Amino acid sequence: MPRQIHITNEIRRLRFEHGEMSQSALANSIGVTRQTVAAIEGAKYSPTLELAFKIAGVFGVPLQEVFRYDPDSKA
Amino acid sequence: MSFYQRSAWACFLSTLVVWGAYLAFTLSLSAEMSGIAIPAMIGAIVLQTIVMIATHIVFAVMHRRETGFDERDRSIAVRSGHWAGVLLSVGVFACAIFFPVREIALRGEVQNAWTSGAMASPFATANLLLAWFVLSELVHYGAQIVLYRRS
Repeated sequence: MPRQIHITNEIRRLRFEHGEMSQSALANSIGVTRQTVAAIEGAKYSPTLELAFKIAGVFGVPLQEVFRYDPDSKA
Repeated sequence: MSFYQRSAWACFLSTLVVWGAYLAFTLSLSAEMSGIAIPAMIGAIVLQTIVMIATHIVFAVMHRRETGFDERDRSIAVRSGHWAGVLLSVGVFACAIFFPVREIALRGEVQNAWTSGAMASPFATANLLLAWFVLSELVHYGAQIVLYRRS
């Protein structure tokens, strides 16, 4: 069974608000593969703190606006 | 699929086919024919090396714009390597126990290359350890395939 992840994110919405930025473009700007961005966006993989800050930096928003800890979520 | 995901599939399938065929071949050998296993092993090493180089050249061309090994790849490699390492350790330990048990069970009966000769013939020792190594590599790459799909 997949590991339960309680961290939700707003990456999809933020990409949309930033000129419909593609997953590939975001991946290139933070130095990971498109598959890793897709896994983070789909809440299948929790990024390291460093990568989380990089993602927030690309969108120019604070970290808590991108990621939220939600113990009740069913990812 | 990313470069490393494809790589895991290529490693898994080539290991399964090449080393599965080699081990099945050695199991069919009689005690007198065990010498053939050495050229067969060299052939398997050469064949897998060629397959791995060829497939990875193709994957590198397909993914030439892709960023290298990232933190998710590293996490998957560590987790899959851990499981493979545990299995390999268990296998090596089991191998050390297997030969005395086999000797007691067979009471000196000679059946084929795997069960002939001294308590721990070099042929049987090498091939049993190789079989465990192949199994641990299959778990290594199989776990990577599963983890790439799930995480």
